[in-house]
Amino acid sequence: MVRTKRKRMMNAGALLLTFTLALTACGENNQGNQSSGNPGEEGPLQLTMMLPTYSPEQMPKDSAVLKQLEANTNTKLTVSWVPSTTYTDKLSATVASGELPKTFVALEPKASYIVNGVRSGMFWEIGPYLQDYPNLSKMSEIVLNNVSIDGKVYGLYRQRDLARFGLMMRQDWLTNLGLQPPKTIDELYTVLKAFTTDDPDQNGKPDTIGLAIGMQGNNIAGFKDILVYMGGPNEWELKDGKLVPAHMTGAYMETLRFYKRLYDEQMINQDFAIVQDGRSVMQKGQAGLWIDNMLDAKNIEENTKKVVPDAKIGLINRISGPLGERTRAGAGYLGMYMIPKTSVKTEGELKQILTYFDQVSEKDNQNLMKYGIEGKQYTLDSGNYLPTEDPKVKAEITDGNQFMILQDQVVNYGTELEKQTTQLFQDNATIAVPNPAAPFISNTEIEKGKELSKIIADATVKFIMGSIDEAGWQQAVEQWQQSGGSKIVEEINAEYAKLAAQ
Amino acid sequence: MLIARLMRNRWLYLMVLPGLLYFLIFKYWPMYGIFIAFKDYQPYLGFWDSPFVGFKHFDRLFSDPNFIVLFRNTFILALYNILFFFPLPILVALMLNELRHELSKRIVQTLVYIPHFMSWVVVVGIAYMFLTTEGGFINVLLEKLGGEKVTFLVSNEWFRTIITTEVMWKETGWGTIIFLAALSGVDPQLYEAARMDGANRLRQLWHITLPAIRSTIIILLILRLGHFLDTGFEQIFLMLNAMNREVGEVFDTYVYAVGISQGQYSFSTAVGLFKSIVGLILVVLANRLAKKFGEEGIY
Repeated sequence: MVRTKRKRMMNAGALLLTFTLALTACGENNQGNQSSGNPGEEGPLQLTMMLPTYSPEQMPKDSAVLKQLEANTNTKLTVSWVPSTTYTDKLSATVASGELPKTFVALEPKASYIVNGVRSGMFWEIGPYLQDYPNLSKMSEIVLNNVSIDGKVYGLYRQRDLARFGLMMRQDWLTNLGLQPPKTIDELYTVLKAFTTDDPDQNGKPDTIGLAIGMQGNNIAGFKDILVYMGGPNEWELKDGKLVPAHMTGAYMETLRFYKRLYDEQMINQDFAIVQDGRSVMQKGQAGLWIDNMLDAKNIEENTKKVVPDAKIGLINRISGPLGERTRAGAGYLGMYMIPKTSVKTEGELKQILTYFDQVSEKDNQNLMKYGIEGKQYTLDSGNYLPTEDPKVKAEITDGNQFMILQDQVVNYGTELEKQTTQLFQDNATIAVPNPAAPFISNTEIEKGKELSKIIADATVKFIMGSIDEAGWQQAVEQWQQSGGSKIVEEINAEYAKLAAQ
Repeated sequence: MLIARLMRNRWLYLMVLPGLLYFLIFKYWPMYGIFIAFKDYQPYLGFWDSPFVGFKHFDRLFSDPNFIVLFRNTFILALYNILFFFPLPILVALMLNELRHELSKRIVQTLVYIPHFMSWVVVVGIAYMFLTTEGGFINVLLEKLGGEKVTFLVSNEWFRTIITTEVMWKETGWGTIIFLAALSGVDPQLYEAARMDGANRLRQLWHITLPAIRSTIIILLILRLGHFLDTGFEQIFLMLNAMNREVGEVFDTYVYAVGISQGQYSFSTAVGLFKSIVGLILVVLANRLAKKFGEEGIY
């Protein structure tokens, strides 16, 4: 009895001891990292990061691709993946707690919690360091200006093609009906009508619709693209030297009417207001068109094929409207890597991390994170790119592109569809309409922007579904103005005037 | 004097100490956090160094045109909850109590608990499947009967009904537990005596059962009032969309949108604090009222 008791005590003591040791070890480790200034002096750089994932399954921790990247950059990476749908909220909560990883991606660099954090000195300003790094120094001035906050650069933007949006249409349905791909808004309407009424899947039942839509946050997927085809602006319009928000333009009304017509004639899914991901309608084989980032095409085709084996997705990027062929430009980046001062205390460590990002932007690493390892994720058969079919090996490259900074030296491999996507991205860039207000910050927008945009987004849905008319829409716009919208317009224009004066 | 009393009951006080510490450490100490409602909290500056701004955030809340809407929506949903949901567990408990067959009573009891253990995501998912216009059960039925489709999920009119019905379906069974416990404490002799005097079952219910659980009902009602403006976040957030936001946006979803999505930690704390204060006032008032009518109250 006494013996067992003593043994238990000893066990407890041993446990306590290991615990304390572990704790002190952690402490030392941290200090070591903070004080170290020279890379390569004491083992690989420990880098924790938080990244969004766009796949249901994450990159495995022991991924060979990740290991390869670590070896190439002499780092030890610890990645915490957060699903993209909740990423922004999770990041906000993490910022609030003040316990951030050493680097993370801010998907919305102008979100209020980021801007407020920057203004209180939470993040390293990295603009001045960029010139010291061979790859990072190649970053585009224009995009850097777009991500800047109060004129300074606080993060490394992740380069993406400028204009990636377009139409993904069921090519097999077009063929079934003997139709040509649409080139104008009117032709688009005709095709969508035929998709709805002429039984494009040839099963004798009226079970198809033209356009699949869903809600992306509070916005209707594809609406902003149709708006630009209709001659509308990309978020803000420059008119007589003044910036006007998109929803106060005539083209917005035209687009609303166009969607209302599609809704009334049952050419879009009638329950779109509660559909979180419109692609699901497309992938059930019920709809003929989806408008979004054309990178989706490959996934949509693969998933639709599970239901309809003959499904084929065709890409269309040029739709001509009142102002000719134009398309919506993105920002040229997708989020930016930021480095908080709360977890990276010294300039030395900052430089080490920047070195890592510089190495990630080397040609070999760019292609590694895009395609994986040759011989594993893909093979080259006399120049022909063959991706692996093994799902386990495939999984090792999941969301690999989330690591990428610059993409200027990526080789163009891929399937027919992927190659076409890349080609259309380049074509899009020539007709892209940028958002003229992208670099500007309005304090009112930071404070209330999301609440205000809900007024407009909700009214848009209501108009399309017929619960308000044009007078009701005007009321919503007025409500937007009174609740702070006119202040946003004022502040954005003041910023614009400042820039124009220079 | 005090010390003498403390010494006399030292063991009792020692035994109460862990409980006291629990409340001090885990309930009272964290309350210092509500001070950020009076500051412009910036994570990097930290709790103490963030600037003090007094009632700025409360000013913004009360002068916001949204405030009236939020208050109305929250209030009506809370009222529906008390009017329609609160009596339901009492009713079910009384009915279960009248069941003679022990086995069927147990089975029914267990079955009505089950919905409580489902998460809101599942409950809302089921509601969607029943109510959607695209092949939802109820709309298919309506059409078969020659009626027209009803847009349950995307309308202002149906929102509150659906929310309250979902709560009833999920929580009624669970709510019966406390009442059943109170009912099992009623002295069977009372019933026997009443039967001797010729009281039928309805009379027994009215004169014995209900008075026996009256104080339980009142205490639970007072406690419920303390959470009056807590409409619950998950359920409403999942049911919200562009077509019903006018009646559906409540304080809890607003705090999420402003506090988390927009990172305005101080403002959302102020909203939360306001909600708690309303709850506190209601509890105090209800308690006073209960005491006035000779009931026990919660303190």
